[in-house]
Amino acid sequence: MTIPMQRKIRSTRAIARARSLLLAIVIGLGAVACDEAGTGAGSDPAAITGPPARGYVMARWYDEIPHDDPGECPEGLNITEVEYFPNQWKRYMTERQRVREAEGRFIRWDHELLPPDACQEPLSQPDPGYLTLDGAAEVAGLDLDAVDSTKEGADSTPCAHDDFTSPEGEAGIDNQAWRLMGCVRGYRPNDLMDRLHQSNTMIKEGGYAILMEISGMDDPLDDDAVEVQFLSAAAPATLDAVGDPMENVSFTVHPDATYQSERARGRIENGVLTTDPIDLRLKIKQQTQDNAVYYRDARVRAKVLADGRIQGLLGGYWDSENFWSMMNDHTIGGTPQGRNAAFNRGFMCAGLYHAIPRVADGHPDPTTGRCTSISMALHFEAKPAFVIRPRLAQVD
Amino acid sequence: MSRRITRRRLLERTLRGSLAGAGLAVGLPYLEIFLNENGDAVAATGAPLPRRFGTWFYGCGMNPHRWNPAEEGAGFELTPELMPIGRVRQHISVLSGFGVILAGETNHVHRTGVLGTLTGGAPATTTENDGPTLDILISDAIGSSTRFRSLEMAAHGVAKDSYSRRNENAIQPAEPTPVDLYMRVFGPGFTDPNAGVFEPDPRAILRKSVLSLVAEDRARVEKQLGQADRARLDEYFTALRQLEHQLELQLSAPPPLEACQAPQRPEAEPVSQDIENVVRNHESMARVLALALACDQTRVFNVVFSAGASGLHTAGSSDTHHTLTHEEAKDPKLGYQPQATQFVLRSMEAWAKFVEILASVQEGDGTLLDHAVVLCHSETSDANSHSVTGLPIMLAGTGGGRVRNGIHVRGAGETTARVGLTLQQVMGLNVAKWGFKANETSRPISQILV
Repeated sequence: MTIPMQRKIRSTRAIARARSLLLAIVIGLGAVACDEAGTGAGSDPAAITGPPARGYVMARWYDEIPHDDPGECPEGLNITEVEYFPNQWKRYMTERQRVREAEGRFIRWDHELLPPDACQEPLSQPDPGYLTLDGAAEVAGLDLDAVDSTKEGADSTPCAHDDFTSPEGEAGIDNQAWRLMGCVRGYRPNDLMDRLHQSNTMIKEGGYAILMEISGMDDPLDDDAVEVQFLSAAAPATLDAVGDPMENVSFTVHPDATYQSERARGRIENGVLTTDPIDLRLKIKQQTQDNAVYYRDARVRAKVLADGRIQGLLGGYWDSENFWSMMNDHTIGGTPQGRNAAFNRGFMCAGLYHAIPRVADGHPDPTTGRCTSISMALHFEAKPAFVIRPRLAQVD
Repeated sequence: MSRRITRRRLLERTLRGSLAGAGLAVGLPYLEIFLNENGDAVAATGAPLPRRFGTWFYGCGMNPHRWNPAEEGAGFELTPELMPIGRVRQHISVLSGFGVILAGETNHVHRTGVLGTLTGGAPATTTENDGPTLDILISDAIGSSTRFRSLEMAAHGVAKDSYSRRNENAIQPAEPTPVDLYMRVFGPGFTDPNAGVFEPDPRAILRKSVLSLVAEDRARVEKQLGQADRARLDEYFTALRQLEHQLELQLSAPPPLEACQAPQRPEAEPVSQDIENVVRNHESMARVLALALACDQTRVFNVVFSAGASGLHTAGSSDTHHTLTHEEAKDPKLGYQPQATQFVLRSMEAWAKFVEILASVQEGDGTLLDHAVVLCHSETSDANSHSVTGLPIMLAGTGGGRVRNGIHVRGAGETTARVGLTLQQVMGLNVAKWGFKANETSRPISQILV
């Protein structure tokens, strides 16, 4: 380690200790002044031991979409119902246009002119086939199973899959969600989802901010024992005058404990935070969707930056049923829009439904042995914030 | 021999006539005889020429990286999707970067962007909107002295697609065809209750011309006009007659031709969102509107070129503009969706035509457009992602010398409520702040105010 780096680390640690002390003083004063205080730990303020918990709000949160394209999807991209049932869709769109122009209204997406809506009833259509992204690629993610798997490995199971390599050259990356969506038009680089990520729609339009709380952090650069919890807030992220998420804002935790994960054990080594796996559910509300995502055995690998932000990856297993629900549970004014969402993004619900178990690689069902979750990775950036947990009134 | 028209009658600026017992009125433009020496105020009252306000809406936004100008201020370089306004850019200011701040409200796709801009905040549900729209606020203040509080028209032919509303249950329906608009403005204003049922035939009125029905009054007025006013009146009546002729053609079956099969008899006023049909209807509507404004039949108007989730399409295609924004693949070399973007360009061309038509009407010391301010907007910027940030907004006209034209102002993520507040102040409303919740603001856009 060079001398300038040593000085920087000492300086950063000194700053961190000073901030801890200042925070403890502020929180202590606050606890004396208020009956119901957001202490972070929800415990008797007079008995705080160890450093106070540090809160964070997600300023960026987006699925991995790699931008290199070494001949991916040689068979092309997945088609939509419009291409698979061209005659029926042409008749439907003609009728849709006619009614719109004559009566000023839209006809429904489950109209009798169309095939049954597989987004609502997935088995109402036969499996039309589905193109997954096969072969090697550089994809960000984590090695969730500590194995550099291949489909044709010695212990091949129904969950066997080929791993990716990370952009940093790490082998064994588990990201079957990219295998599943990588050949869908809307998920390709610079298409719909990528544009939504770039405009940070998830955070700026999201109805509920995503919070993280780290407890027991003595030293943000080196600490062998911390705890990390993910929570949904009761309100959206606060944005500044130019529309970017603000830091050091207070957020009240969502009252439904479903959206407060367990505390994961973790550690920080040379400024890199890693955690053990936990399950977490977070409320997702934007545009046509009001749902909750469910990640199993999710864990963090992220850098603690000098300015207090934390930036990195959340890797885990997306519960398959929840994945399906998130893909097509869209409504406008109570009317299902899953089919609309599917062809906006570029896939057929029937095809996706049958492809999910084929790519699933986590949490094998004890009876069938088939996997029930899909490995995934998302990028996040967390800014310092205050996590408030109001005590609920006692009801006799 | 025609008697002279009284001065009091003259100052009503209306020619009167009748058709089968029903009264007809044709407004007169602001002729010199009505104005002061400077041509900027009504001589009899000293009141300035009326300011007009309008909205011009088109659906499905634009490609931000091809629409937003790079430089701020005057003399900014026109981007590819602003090229169509080149010939009228001196009349237009571009406002980029303003959007509807959601602050937890859902982005109701194809709705939040338009109602957010017009009501000053993000609507909470898909069926309710908070408060009256901007044009209603302005027409409540200035619309009571004209025959029509406001005029609404939908070039794409769907009357229900009107964004002018007092609340969700009180939406002002739009005139869906140029003939409907013409009849509203120039058709019979009232019917004699003793004359029985009267169904005015648009064809009859167009063929005969409403001008012939007010001929006697016209002759009396012309006797009292100077040369310049007579020329101006002649110009106005010529424009009206040309418009009537155009509309009559649209309603008439073509003459028989020996060498071809007899064409199908056209249905009366077919409604279609075929882009060519919409462009044609829009131009006719703009011309009727210009005449209506010049004659002070209304001072507030709302034009819908295409609705949110634009249903514009090319002839014979069931792929609408909206469908293409979601389904068409981006051309890797061009960096945008070529077919969807064609509709953006056609919409910008139509906007330029609208501005051109208003700017062509001479009025007092300037033009009709000089005494108006028109808000051009859409419900989304990038339609593919339903973005309500950085909405495309333009203002045309100086609003009686109060608005600066020809500049670009960048909003940097601020609320479109600033636009609405500014426009209300330009139109003389005593408003210090506007908007609600996260969109509430007390800051007009000073860069565009003179």
